Amino acid sequence: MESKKRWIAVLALAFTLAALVGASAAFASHRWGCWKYANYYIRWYNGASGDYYNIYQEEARTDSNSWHNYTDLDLPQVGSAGTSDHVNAYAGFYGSNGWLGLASIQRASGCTVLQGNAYLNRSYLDSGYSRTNKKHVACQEVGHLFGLNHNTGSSTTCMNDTILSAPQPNSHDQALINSLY
Amino acid sequence: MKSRKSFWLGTLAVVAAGLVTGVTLADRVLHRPVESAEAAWAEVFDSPAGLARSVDVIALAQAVGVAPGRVATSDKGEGPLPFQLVDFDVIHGLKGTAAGDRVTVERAGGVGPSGQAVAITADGGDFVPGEVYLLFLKQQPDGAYFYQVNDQGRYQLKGNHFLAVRPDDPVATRLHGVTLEQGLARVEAALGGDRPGGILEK
Repeated sequence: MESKKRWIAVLALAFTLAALVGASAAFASHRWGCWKYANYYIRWYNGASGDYYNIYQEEARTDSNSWHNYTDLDLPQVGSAGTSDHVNAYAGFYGSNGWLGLASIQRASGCTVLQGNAYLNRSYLDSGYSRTNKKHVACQEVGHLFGLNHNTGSSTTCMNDTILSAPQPNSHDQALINSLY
Repeated sequence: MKSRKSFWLGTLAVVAAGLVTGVTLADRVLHRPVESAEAAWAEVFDSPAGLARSVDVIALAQAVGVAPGRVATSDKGEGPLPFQLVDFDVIHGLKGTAAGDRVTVERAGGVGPSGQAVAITADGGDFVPGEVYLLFLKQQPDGAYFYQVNDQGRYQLKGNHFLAVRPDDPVATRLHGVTLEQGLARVEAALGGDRPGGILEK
């Protein structure tokens, strides 16, 4: 009888420890809520102009470590903004409101993103920010829309919102995106 | 032998069940679609004193009205982003303002030209008229409005306690959950500079 109780206690302890490990892993995942697109095929509309167009292109599609090339995401470029399975990227003078960049889920069904908009705020970025800084912000805003949250624990990812010097996703982001899509 | 094998298989099953339970519970807590916007802020502070010194206005203020503001578009005239103007009556001024003043904060969010609501939650979301907030604001260089400096710059008073936008932020955590009196005292201590023992300098 004593032995049986002991085993039950051991099993309960094992369950609790495993639950804690599982919860810790989930907390450390840097997911942004439950957001994600329906699948890996997401239409990419680049509505910026000038070098901001190039910056978005590099971060989303053309750099070797862009979201398109570095992860399982497929971001076919389209010629106009859309409201379903679209990322729409913009740059403009949005004024002094504190933010360099903004990622906004504009349409969704439950946790499934239908339309995500990224904004780069030239009211700040045009003065005193390097091209690397701008790329970092562009990479981060687009990364949010795919379902990633800020990650202040690494200096090698654009998802770190306390730095502006890492204009690319890192292997953690790659693994997370590939697990989502 | 058979008993030992059964035990280890049972243990394995229990551990697996525990892992699944832990991940599922954490997922339910964390992964709720409550936030629909994230921002890269121009300024992020590593100490409450730095935050307090940087801003133009620190006030305990009541939101009294929300009105639609401008609609900004991209360089190519696309992607309309609505803004709101939120009026606050200052209850207690800690920096740059005084009780009885009215300050107007501009923030992204509201209803776009197509009638679609655009919820911007990066700064804590829509202000609620009648609610009281501790705000850290900067004045726009090109206008009469103020803006919330970042997500570290807003604490809603619920009951007698402040609630931060992101309680796990290293700066916001100093004010999150504290009482009104403690919060105001901590801000005043931060404004007092780097004096030894300042609560926010710990």
